[in-house]
Amino acid sequence: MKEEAWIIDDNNTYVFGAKRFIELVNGCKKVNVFSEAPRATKQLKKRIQNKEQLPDVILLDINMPVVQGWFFLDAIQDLLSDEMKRNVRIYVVTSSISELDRLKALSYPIVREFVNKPLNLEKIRSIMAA
Amino acid sequence: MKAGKNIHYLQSELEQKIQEDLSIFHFIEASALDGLWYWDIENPDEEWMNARFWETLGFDPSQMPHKASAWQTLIDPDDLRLSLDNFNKHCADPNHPYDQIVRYQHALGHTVYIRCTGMAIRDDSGHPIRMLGAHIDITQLKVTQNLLQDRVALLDQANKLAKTGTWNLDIATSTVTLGKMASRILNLKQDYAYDFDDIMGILYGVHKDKMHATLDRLKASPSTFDDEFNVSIGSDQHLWIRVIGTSVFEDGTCTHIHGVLQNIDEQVRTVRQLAHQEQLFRKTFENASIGMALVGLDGSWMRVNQSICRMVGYTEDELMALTFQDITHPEDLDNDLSLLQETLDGVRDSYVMEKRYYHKKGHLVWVLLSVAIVRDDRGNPLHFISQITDVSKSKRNELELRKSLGRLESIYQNNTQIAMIELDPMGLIVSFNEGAENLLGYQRKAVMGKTFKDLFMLEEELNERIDLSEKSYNRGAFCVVIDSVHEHGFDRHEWKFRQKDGSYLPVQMTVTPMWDENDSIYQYLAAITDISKIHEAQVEVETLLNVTTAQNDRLRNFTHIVSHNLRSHTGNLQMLLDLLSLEDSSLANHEIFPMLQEAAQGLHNTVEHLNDVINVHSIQGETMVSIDLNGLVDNVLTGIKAMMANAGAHVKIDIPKGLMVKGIPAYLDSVVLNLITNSIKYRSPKRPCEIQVSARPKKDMVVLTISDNGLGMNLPAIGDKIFGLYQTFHKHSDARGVGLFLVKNQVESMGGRIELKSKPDEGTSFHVFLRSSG
Repeated sequence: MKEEAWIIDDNNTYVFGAKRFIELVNGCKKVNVFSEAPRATKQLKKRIQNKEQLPDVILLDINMPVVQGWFFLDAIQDLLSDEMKRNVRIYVVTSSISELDRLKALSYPIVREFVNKPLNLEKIRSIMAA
Repeated sequence: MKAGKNIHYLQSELEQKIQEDLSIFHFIEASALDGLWYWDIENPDEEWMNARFWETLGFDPSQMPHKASAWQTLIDPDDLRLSLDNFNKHCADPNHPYDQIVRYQHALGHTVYIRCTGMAIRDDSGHPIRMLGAHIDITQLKVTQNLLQDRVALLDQANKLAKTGTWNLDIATSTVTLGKMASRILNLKQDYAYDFDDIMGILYGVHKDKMHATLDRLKASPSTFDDEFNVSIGSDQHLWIRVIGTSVFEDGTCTHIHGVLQNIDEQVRTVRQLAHQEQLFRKTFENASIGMALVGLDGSWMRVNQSICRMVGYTEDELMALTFQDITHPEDLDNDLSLLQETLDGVRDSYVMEKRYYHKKGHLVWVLLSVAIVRDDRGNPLHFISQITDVSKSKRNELELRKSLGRLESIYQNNTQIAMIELDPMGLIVSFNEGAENLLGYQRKAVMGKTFKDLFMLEEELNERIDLSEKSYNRGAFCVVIDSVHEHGFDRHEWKFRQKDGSYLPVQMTVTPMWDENDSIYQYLAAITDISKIHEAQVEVETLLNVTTAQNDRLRNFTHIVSHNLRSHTGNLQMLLDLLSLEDSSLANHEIFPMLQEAAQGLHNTVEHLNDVINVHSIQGETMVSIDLNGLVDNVLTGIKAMMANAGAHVKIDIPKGLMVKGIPAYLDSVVLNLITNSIKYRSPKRPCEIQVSARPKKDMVVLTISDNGLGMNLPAIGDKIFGLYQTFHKHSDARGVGLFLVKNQVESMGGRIELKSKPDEGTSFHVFLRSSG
């Protein structure tokens, strides 16, 4: 079982569903939700500074109002050490089926997978098992 | 008279008689002499003269005194002096004769020549006391002598004028002497006895032999000759002479041959030159490349050359039988005849005209005719000489040119919509057509010679263009246009032109150079069209474009809503339903729940399809690449292996190796995938699914055919709807109704088209026409 998962998404319904799937598969002990990318960035920075535990999994939406998910990806690129990059698994989960979005997301080495919404139980199970 | 030693007895008898009988003296005195005088030297005025003295001089003796002074006024003063001189000498010396010819003036005025002799009678001491004299009238003799002298002088003169001189060949001494003129002609000495052989040396080659033969003939018998010879009269100088001679015989032997010779060089040369010129003319005439003819005063041909015969298609004989009037076009005849008459009347010496002859075959021949009159030395007209040049070809060209010039001119002048303005190199207006008047509002005469630029163009527009050209123009702003003409052959640009009323008109002006025959630019032609309508249309188009762009933007927003917002909602809906069924299994058994799930799935699918449709249109403009058809089909089949296996479908491929098409890979992928999966989906339950994929090049296309043995369709009933959106024709669980719509759109996006043949319960064949690559 993973220790901590982050969900960065502004859609409350999705966040509710995702959390419930994680609970159902017993995926991890703790889920942290950020509705805005800058908050998540700030939090991650703080943890690195305090040398605190980092999340095992981050489910990141890229289509968000004001600041898009890309901002988060750009920001953490330099924050994380190589070891951290290996340990923090980032999944881009989005309703976009745009090929451009997919290619752009996968161009970040830290992004493990580009996942189309809707999420289902099986997908969450495989993400949490990885 | 001196007394000889032996006096004849009759002489002494006469002397005796005279002394005895005075009458005898009187007879002598009256009849033998023309005057007798006896002068008293001691009393010089006393002189006796007989009657005959005065009669000879034409005076009446009875009227004349016996005084010396009576004749001294009649005698020539010079002769009187001569007489007195002779008298004085005779008185001093009796041996000096008193004998002279003197001239008296006859009473009638003419001169009388008198031979006057005299004898002084002396006293015992020898002193002369009396003078006896006698007159003999020799006038007749003297006149004859003078006449002879005149004749000789005349002959000399004639010889000189006729360049004729005398010559004489003495046979005995074999020498030749030349008279004054002859020597001058031959450049030899006068009256010098030249050796015959030497003189023969001056004769020219063959003429020497001719002269020898002639002289031999003359020596044989008295005869004459008259022939022409060429002689050398110095280095490189030759002369033609005519020699006439006669042989003179004495006692049967030829003693000499004499005659005259004449310088005829000029005549011979003139004659030869004339002959040469005649030949020159004849040759020129006969062989001239232009037509030449001698035409009689009546218009009949006297002589014609070959060129003119060729020109009009007649033989020489045929043409000679005609007059020029016969073959002249009637419209040109009057003009020709009147010019001919003027030439005949001496108003003009020659004339040139363009006229038409009829060719023997009937067509017209355009000629340039040049006629001159030939007159004799008294100015009487003899005949005409005509030179005729065939100008048909250039005439045809000229007519052709005139026609097209006329056409151009009428285009230029009658073009009421396009302004045509000709400019000289200084930019001044040389011409201004009706179109220009309409367009710019000025009358032609108001703008001629004015500066085009100042009248119509805006300095700031020109300057703007100069700034763009990044060149400098210190020769006036209009040079930016002229330079462009020189550089590109023309200049086309849009400008705002100032009209007469001060308003501005948007125009397009095209300036082209006008070339002269030396290939240099002598003028510019500006063609100006009103583009205000185009501008209005442009504004309209721009407005439309803005509207369309706005619509596009809204469409893009719509796409975004579909792809993101709508999808996220349907996604959430599905996710929630999933969760609901997981958390409360009793709900899953509720009869509405599966229907809810199905509705959510349906909504999701609809959103997906809408996405596909939007994507086709948004990808347009993507570049086409060459695609290997075999590879592409293989790829697609690999991707649907599981589906094929499940359905028990069998695919047969028949595509020539290396067959390439032009297309967008993703589209072609989608087309092939859609058509094959369609065949699998709509397979017949009655028989195993057989699919054939083949391709053949056809002209510049490639036809890809995908046929199956499936359910087939009733095409006449379906018609065009088959490729419509959301049309399904099978009651099949998986029928989406989007596939064929997409396929058609994608094929058309790649510049192709799609056709199908289908029969219910037999199968369907799709023919996809794709652009062949290369």
